[in-house]
Amino acid sequence: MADPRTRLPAVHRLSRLTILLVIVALAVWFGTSPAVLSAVDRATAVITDITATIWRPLTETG
Amino acid sequence: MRVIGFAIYYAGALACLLFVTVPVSLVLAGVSVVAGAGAVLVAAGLVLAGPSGAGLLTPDAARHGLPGRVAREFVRRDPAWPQYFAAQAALDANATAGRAWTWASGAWRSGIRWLSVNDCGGYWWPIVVLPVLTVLAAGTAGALVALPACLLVIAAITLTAWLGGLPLVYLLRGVDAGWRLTWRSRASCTACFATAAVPAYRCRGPHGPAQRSSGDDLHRDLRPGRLGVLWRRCACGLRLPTMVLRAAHSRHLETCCPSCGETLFDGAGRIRDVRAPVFGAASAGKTQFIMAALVGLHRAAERSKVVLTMPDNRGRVAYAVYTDLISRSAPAPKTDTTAPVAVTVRIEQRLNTTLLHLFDAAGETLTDREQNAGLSYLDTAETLTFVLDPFSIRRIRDEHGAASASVFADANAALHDPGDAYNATAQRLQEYGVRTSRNRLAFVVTKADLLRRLPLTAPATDSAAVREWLCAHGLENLVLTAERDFGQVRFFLVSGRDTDPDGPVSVLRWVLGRGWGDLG
Repeated sequence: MADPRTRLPAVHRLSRLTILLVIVALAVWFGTSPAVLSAVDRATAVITDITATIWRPLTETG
Repeated sequence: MRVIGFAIYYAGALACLLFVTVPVSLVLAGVSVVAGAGAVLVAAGLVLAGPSGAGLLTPDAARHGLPGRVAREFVRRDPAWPQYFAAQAALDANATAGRAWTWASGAWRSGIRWLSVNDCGGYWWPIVVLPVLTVLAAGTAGALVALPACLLVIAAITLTAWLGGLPLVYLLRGVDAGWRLTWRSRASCTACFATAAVPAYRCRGPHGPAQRSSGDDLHRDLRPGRLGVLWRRCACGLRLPTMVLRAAHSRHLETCCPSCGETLFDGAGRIRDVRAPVFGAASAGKTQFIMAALVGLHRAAERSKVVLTMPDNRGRVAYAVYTDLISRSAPAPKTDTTAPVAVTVRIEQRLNTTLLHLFDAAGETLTDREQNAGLSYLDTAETLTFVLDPFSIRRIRDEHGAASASVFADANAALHDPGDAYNATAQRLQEYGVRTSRNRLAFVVTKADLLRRLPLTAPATDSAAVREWLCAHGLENLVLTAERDFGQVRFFLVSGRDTDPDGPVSVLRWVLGRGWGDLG
């Protein structure tokens, strides 16, 4: 059995777990929110556009 | 030829950089931002869900590491875990940021070192340098966004806890203080005579002998606060209630004197505490007065269906001796001059519970300015009782001493001047800064039974008549001095052998005051 003087009390562990759950829940909520999904879409589109622009001399012949 | 070779190489490198590396780096940047943010979440997870150990504010560490000061009367921080949001949440936020910083700086160091060791990829630099730098920069950017968000969440939850906890702390402290004020409860020690609004509590948990001897099992400030709002966790692991009101009912706690560590009576600090010092000259009849008052109080309690108990063995023994002496009409024994005697009585009637401490010291001790310095119980009493032997009044002695020698012999008259006996204690109180104008004085003329044997008109027992009689017999100065010193003075005439409601118990009723005025 661990020394009670160094073992974190259960209520402390519960508080930590609560904070972690809130962080994870916010991360999941934020990561799946329409704003973020559309931002990812826009970023993907931008990268695709830039790549297409860069590659245009190679893909367009004549 | 060499120039052509260089030209072809750099043309190819530029083409590779433009057509391959830049698009790949763009994709890697997006992925790295997410990875950086994810790493911060993992860091937070490792700190918050990881095994406890390093970075913990343990009770030992909290003794000096917890912010905020400990009031002087509580000496030092109690051996308990600080409430999570009092400090540990900030430490966890710091640990999360520290871990994220360690990882980010480690990644940068590793990446730069790899590039320098491998000469930036040598001939392959166009497809190596930019992706590596992009991954590091984008990952750091992701972490820089996620870390403040994480810290913000911790801060918001901590702030919410403080916003809810702080008013609750002051509300609960207010309940304690309100109770103390209403019931005039206080913890007083009959060993060292110290009193405290908040008693100390000894944890009955598994503390080792070293902790017991060093006082590491003692909670001096059990009020709601940084160590817990409703409950606190002792260093030994036991959950203890906060508040004096709740601690009094806890089987895990033993009430102790914060000054000397002596165990106090059950309910000390929660129930009303009345300290009643009795002073006067040697042989004035103080002990006899206390004996009759206690026995009379016991009988009055029986009549009134009030529960009266002696909570400690010393009191029980003293009461048994007093009862025996009163039943035999025997005189009180001479009070020991080495230490004052404190007899405690617990009086209960429904919610009204009072601990009455009667302090009796030898007259020699009281009148000696050096010896009475140690009688600190005098300083904390609201009502004091001055016992005056009428046979020590000069005029009575001069007029009746010779004619009624047998009565004087029975009275064992006090030899000390009543004024000197009073002044020795009154001056002591004033020298120690006691504002006696806030206190009450029961001015008790004893030996009424013997006084009635003298050929003089004894006063009636009401306060005004006794006062007038004292003034008429040359004690006007003493009466006026007492009335000037104390906020309220009431005069009594009693017999030390009388256990009836009109005897010394009437003085105790007045001393007890509110709630017990009709006792008996």
